[in-house]
Amino acid sequence: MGKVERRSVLKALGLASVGAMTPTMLKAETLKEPYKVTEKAIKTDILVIGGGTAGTIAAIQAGRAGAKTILIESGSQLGGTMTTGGVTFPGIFHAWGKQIIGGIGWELVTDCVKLNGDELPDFSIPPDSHWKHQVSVNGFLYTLVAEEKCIEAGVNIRYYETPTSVEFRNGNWIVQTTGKGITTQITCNQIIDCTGNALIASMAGFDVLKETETQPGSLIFQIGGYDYDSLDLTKIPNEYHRVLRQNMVKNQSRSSSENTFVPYGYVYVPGADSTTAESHTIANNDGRSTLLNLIRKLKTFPGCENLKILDLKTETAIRETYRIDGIYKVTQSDYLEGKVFEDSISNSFYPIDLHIVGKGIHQVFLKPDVVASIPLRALIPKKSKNFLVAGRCVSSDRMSNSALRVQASSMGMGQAAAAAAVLANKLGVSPHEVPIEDLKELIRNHGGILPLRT
Amino acid sequence: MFGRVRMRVMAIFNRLTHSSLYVKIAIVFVVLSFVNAERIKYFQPQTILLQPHSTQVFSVDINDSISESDLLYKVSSKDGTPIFFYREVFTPVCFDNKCRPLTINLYWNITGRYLGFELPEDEFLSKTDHEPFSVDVYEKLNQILATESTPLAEIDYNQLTVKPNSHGLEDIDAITSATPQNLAPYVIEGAAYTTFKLWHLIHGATKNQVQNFTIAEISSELIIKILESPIQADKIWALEHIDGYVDFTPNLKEKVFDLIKGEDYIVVEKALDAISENELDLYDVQQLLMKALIQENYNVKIRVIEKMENCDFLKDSVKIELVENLGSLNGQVFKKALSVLEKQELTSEMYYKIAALLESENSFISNSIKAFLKNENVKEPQILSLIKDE
Ligand SMILES: Cc1cc2nc3c(=O)[nH]c(=O)nc-3n(C[C@H](O)[C@H](O)[C@H](O)COP(=O)(O)OP(=O)(O)OC[C@H]3O[C@@H](n4cnc5c(N)ncnc54)[C@H](O)[C@@H]3O)c2cc1C
Repeated sequence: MGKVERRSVLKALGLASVGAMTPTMLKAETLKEPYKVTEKAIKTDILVIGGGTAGTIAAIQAGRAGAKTILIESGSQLGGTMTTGGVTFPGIFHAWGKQIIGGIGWELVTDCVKLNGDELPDFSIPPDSHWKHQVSVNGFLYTLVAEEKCIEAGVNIRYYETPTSVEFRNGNWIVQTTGKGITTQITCNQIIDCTGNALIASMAGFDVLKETETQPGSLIFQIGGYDYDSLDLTKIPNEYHRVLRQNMVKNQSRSSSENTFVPYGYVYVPGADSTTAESHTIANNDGRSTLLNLIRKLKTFPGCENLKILDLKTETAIRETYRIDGIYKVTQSDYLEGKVFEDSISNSFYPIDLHIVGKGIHQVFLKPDVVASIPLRALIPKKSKNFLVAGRCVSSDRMSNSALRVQASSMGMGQAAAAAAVLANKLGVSPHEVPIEDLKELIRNHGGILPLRT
Repeated sequence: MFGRVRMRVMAIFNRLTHSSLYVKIAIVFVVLSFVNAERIKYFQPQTILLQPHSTQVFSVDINDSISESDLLYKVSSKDGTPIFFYREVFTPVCFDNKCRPLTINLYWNITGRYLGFELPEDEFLSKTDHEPFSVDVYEKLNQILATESTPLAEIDYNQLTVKPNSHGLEDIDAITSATPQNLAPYVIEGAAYTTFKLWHLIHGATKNQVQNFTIAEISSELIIKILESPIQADKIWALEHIDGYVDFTPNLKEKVFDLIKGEDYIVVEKALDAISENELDLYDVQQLLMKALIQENYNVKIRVIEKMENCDFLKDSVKIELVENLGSLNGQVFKKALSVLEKQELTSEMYYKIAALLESENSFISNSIKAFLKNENVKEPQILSLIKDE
């Protein structure tokens, strides 16, 4: 067939097909039944609520230890403060030349580092600044790897859902949740509250505590379009130097294994609280308007005329809201002395690190060879049954909480809490009744590093 | 004593034509006594615990804040094992256009790690106000000099102080009130310039020279000796100088595998890195890895199985052992064990053993096994019936 001939045939066919399809396409629109919220009832051994820093690890641990596990996350991805909040800088897994937190959290972090072609800092040399041993992680990869590992572990992930009520009946929890177009009744044996806000603990009727004045939240962003080194800083007020400098570093493009700056820039959001949809909306509004004003201001400085915003996290990251009133409350002196309890199930290492708007950060460092630890009792609300928490809502005084809340510690708690829930489910008891040596063995068998009693 | 030795050596040295060689001269003589008990000296743990016997002196290109070249002394044991190196330092410490002499011997372990310092007879260190260092201050200095990661590494001399408050010699180390707060733990108050100078001498070019000398005569026997050091940094240095440097002799292999145990995972990881790709093909190495995989804790297992992922061909008995122990592995170690097996040719008998884990109560295990067997395209009918989707 010649070229012209072929084209005309195709054209004819095309016309013919358009002609032939038009009536069917018009008919494709059908009248649907009015939308009804689906109702569902499901059963599981363990329900993890909150798929953030601690919850993701808890869910993977529970699944890998063989428990039927559901993970509810009100957002659309895993990682919480690490990913959605943008704090892709987990720390601290090593102290004084030794690894002190391992297990599933470390596995995720190192998988991301390898996949991204990053380098780890040299952990054998204690650094002069603690954050030099935090690990810069590609947050996008973290989200993907975390989800893959949950699915591999058989975890049933449910995004866009949140509990509306929880009730303990006949040895099981009945949790009513609502999500986009669905309400679900989940019956489970053990709950792990990893919402960061102790929301489920509060819903279940257990006491929670909050400071009158909490640390600010932060909205994380990245800016570019200027060259920090050629800025004339004498012409820019001091208060803007930090924000201009910190944004120079993109965590994915480090050429050396040493961190030279904390790899994120942020604006403070005083009073930020993510406990409810309403309070988190306010925190987001406040953060975004502060940032917008900041961008406008920065652009007025010489050398910053072409400044651009390159990345903005989807929500304000939260430092401090509610903590549970646990069977044991970790104190600042426990932390600074590195107290190891009979039921210590994970290590923690960070300075006391309290952010105060306008005043900077109050820090107290651990003395050489001191590593703090977390007792199981600090993860269990007083008078509770079949209930644990993990992450920043751990039972602790304000000062120790400012150190305990960091990501490696939250991950360690997540893994330990899940191990306790798995055993409690198997034995038909509450987590505080689980034989502590069996729990330690289970944690160890999945890579957790247990505190050493000296 | 070292001063006299140095003069003799310098006289001979000056008579020789300078060559561009990095090591210009080497003279061996017996050290009568290594350290004089009356001298002020502070040391860190020694890497090699042998008795000093002889000293060689080398003129080396150093190019640090003192000079372009200097003499470096190597002290060895009777059997010729290098034990440590030292340098006799004579340098001014200057501040605000005034200088004060500093005479001190600095010592390095053969791994380049700071070993210690010693002052000549009747010499002592003092602060700006001439107050001699107390024992506590010397100890602090010893610790500061041993610290590798410090802000001193990133700042320059001029950033040490902001306050030239008076004139005269006593100002040399005048940092008393001017040391920025974050530097305070890393410098001796009233002797910041001395601390800075010493730290940079210790962690500067000489350190590399020392390491180069050791590398030049590195052997598996010497590596074994360094691995016996109680100091983690020495072990790590030795482990980083095996692959591509020395033969992996049976004794060295044993020593390295001894380190693939216990709870120092940084060392475990380095020990595994020391095993070359070629070694991985050897039966005994594969067996030793399998043993560690079975006996050690999870954090060792995970690193061992990651190493085994690099084995192209596992010996049959090792494959069988891995298959038989699959059920005792957890989490990511279990997953990685499957990916090791994925690369190997497996027998029908092995597949049946693996398929037995389909019965596991742990659905993470049974599901992973099912996915593995499906991926392997097994032909065994009984297995096929077990893995077919309902
Ligand atoms: C700005 C900032 C900087 C920080 N810097 C560092 C640092 O550099 N390194 C470090 O290690 N740590 C740092 N931290 C601390 C650390 O990141 C957090 O304390 C830690 O990530 C908290 O973990 P979490 O699991 O408790 O909470 P999150 O990670 O916040 O997880 C909570 C999850 O629960 C979900 N959730 C909440 N409510 C519900 C609900 N009702 N239903 C369902 N899901 C719900 C959330 O969507 C979220 O995914 C920083 C924190 C902030 C805010």
